[in-house]
Amino acid sequence: MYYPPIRILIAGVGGQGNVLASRIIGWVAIESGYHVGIGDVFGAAQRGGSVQSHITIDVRDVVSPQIPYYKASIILGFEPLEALRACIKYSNQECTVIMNSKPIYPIDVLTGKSRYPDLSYIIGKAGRLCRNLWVIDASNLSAKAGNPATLNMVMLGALAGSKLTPIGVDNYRSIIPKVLRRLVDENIKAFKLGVEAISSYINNR
Amino acid sequence: MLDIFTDSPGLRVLLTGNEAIARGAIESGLHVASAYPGTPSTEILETLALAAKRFNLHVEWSVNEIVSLEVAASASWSGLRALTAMKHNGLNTVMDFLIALSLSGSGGGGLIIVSADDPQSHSSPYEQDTRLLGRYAEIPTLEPSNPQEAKDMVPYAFNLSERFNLPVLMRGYTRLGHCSGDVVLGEIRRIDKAASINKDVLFHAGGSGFSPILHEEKHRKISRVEDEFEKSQWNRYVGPENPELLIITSGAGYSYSIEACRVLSLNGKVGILKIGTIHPLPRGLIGKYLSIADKVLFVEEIDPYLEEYVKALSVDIGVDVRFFGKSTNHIPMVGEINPDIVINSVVNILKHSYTPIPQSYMEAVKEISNAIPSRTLTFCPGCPHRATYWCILRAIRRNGNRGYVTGDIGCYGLGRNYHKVMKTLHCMGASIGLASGFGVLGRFGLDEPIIAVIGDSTFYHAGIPALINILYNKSKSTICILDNGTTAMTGFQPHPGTGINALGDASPPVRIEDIARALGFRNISILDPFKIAESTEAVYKAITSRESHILIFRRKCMMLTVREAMDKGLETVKYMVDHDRCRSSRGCRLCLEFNCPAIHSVDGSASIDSTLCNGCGVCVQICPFQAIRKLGD
Repeated sequence: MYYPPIRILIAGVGGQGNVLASRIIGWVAIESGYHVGIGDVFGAAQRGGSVQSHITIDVRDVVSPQIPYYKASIILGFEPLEALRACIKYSNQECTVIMNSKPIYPIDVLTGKSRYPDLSYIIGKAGRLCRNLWVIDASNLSAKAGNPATLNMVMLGALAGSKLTPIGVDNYRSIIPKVLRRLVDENIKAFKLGVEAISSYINNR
Repeated sequence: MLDIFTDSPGLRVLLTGNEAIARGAIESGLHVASAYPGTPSTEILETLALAAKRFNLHVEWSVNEIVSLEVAASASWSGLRALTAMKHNGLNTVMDFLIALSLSGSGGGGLIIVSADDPQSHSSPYEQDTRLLGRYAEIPTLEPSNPQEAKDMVPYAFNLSERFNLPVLMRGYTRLGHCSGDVVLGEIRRIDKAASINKDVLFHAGGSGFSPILHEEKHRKISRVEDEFEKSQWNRYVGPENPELLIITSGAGYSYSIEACRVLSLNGKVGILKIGTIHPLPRGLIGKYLSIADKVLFVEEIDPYLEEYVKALSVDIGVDVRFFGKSTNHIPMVGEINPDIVINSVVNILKHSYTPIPQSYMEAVKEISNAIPSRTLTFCPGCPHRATYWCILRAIRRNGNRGYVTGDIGCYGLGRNYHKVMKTLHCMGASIGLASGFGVLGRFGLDEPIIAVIGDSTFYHAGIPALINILYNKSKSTICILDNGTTAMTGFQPHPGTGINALGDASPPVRIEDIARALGFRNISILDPFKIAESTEAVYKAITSRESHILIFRRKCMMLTVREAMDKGLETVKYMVDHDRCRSSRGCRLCLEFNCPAIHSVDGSASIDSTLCNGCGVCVQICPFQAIRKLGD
C-alpha cells in the first residue's frame, strides 16, 4: 500500500483509453476525500502515439500535472513497450508496475524499419527497475468482457484489486457507470476480470 | 456527479482546465460563446454547448477564429457577456480585428478571449507564447495556474472587461486545459438582459488621424488596470520573508516550482512569486519582492516574458540582483518545462545536490533506452486519409514521380510521415495559397504538377479566398479536399458542411462542390477514397491535365463510423490474410507499404490483427494476389 502523495502513471498507446481511466481515478480520489492533479496529453491524432496520464493523489492541494522523474508510486502499463518507456523515466526501487502483456506494434516495426524488443526482454528489464512487476494478459480479458475497448477497465480493476491505494474496490467500481456513455455492462465485467486477475496473480506469487 | 453545471456551490468536483473555464463562464451569467476548434482549447466551447439550451445561451462553432471573435464582440458591444476560445495559432489570425477592437472598446457586456498555448507543440504546427501577444495588443491579460483558478478568474475577467471597456485575454495552455484537478464550484449567476445597441456611440477604431487619440486613451486605461493589478488576488507570494532564492513564475511554472521545492524539501528557503496578471505587469509588487532576495530565477514556459520585463524593471528601480532563467540556460528557451527542469535549476543555483536514484540504476536505464523504438504517429486503421494519400502516391509514381504536394492543418497533416507525400505544413489554408503560388511559376521553368491537400473544416476556415486566387490569377493546380464529414483532429466537431451546428441542431449544409462550382471551377470530381483504382486514375488525370481540378475525397472519418456502428450494436467487417496466397515471403511488401497499423508481418507472411482492423477493405484492392478476404468468408 502506498500513502499520499501517491503518484500513478498510466502509459499506453493513443486510443487505449488512458484518459477515461485517469478521470475515474481522479473522481474516486475526490470522493474519498483527497486532492488530485492529473496531466493528460490528448487531442490531435494521438492515436498510435505514446500517451501518458500522470495522476497525483494527495492530502495537500496538488498542483503539478507532471510527476517528477523517478517519482512514480505505481505505473499502469497498458502496453509492454510503453510500460518500459515509462519505467526508464519515472520508476524507482519502490515503484510497482502493473503491465498488460499484449504488444501494440509501432508503425516502424510493422514496416520493418525498427525492432520490437522480445516480451521477455521487456519484462526482465522492467523488473530490474521497480520493486514489483505484475504482468497480466489484460487484452485477452478485455476480449472476454466482450469488447477490446474495455482494456482500460481491466487495468483499472487491476489497480483497484492490487490494494496499492487506500481506496476500496467498490469505490472504484461505483464510479464507472457514472462516467461511461456506452458499453457499461462490458466495462463493469472488464473491471471485475481485472480485479480477479491481479488478486490471483498476487496470491500465486 | 458528472453534471458540470449543477447549481451546487461548494461542491468539489474533478474538472479539466477547459471545463473549469466553461463552468466559470456559466457562473458569470454568460450569454454568447463562439470558437473554432483548436487543441488544447476545444473543450471550452464543447462544454458550453452542453449548457446552451439549459441556460438560454447562443453557442456556436464559427467558421474561423476571426469571425468567432467578431461574433463575440458584437454580443459584448450589445451589452451581453461573451467569450471566445481558440488555440494560439488562432490568436494570430485575429490580431487585426483584436487591435482595432482594443481601440474601439468591447462595449458594456464584457468580452473574454481565451487563447490556449501548446508548449512543445504536442498538437500544433509550432509553439508560441500568447503572453507577448497580450502585451502587443495592449489588452489586460491573465494567466491561471490551475483549474480552480481558471474557473475563478472568469467572473473577474468579465467584470474587468466591463469596467474598462476592453477585451480581456486569458492565456490557457496544454497543462491547464487538458489537465484536471479538484475544483470547488461557485454559485451560478443568471443575468437576464436584452441586447441593445447604442447607435450614438461609434464602434470603430478611429481611422485616419483619430486612432492616436483612442490609442492614448487605451494607454490611460491600461495604466489604471495596472494600479488594480498591484493588489490582485491572482498574484501570490509563498515562502519565507528573506528567501535564499526567489522564483518568479506564471502559469504551469507555479505548480512545477511548488513541486520542485517539495521534492527538494526547500520550502523554508525558496520563495515563489506567482504572477497571474500578465499584462500590465504590476511593477510595484514585483519591485517589492525584488528587494527580499539577491538571487532570482524565472520559471516560465516558452518565451522569457517575465525575465526580460523584470530585468528592465530592475534597472529602473536600481536593485542589485543576480538573475537566472532562459538567458543563463537554467530554463530552456523552447519546449515544455516540468518539475525536473526547476529542480535541476534550483539545485544548480543553490549548489545543493539531488540524486533521486542511485548511479547503478541510472546505468541500467541508459542501457535500456536504446532498445525502445519510438512510435511515429500514423492514421487510424481504416482512415480514409491513408487511402487518399495512397491514391495520390500511386498517381505521382505513375507520373514518373512528378508531383509536389502542399499540405494543411488537420489529421491529414500526418501525410508528412506517410511516405513523405506531403511536403509543406504551415497554417490553416496554406495548402491552397501555396498551390496558387507554385502554379504560376511555370514561366520560370517550374514544371511539376502541384497538388494541394486540405481537409473539409480547414477548407471552410481558410481555403476559399486562396481558391478564388487560383482562378483570378490563372494559376493551375489540383486541389484535393479530404472531406471526412467532421473536424476530426480536435475531436469530431461539426462544421458548416455537416448540416449540424454546435448544439447538434440541423443547419443548412454548405457544400464544398457548390462553392467550387459557384466560383467557376469546371473540373470537380467527388471520389470515394476507398475505391483505389478509380481515385488513383482521377488524380493521375488531374495532374497530367492542363487545367485546375477540384477532387473531393468524400468518406466519413472511420472513428465516427466505428462509433456509430457500436451505438447501433453492429459488427464491424474484418479482413484476414490467406497465407497460402500471400507472397510476402517472396518479397512482396505492398500491403505492408500501405502502413496500416492492423497489418504486420509474422514469420514471413503478412497478417491482419482483427482487433485493430476497422474493415475499410483497401488492402483487399492493394493485394495483387487476392490473398486478403473477409474474416469468416
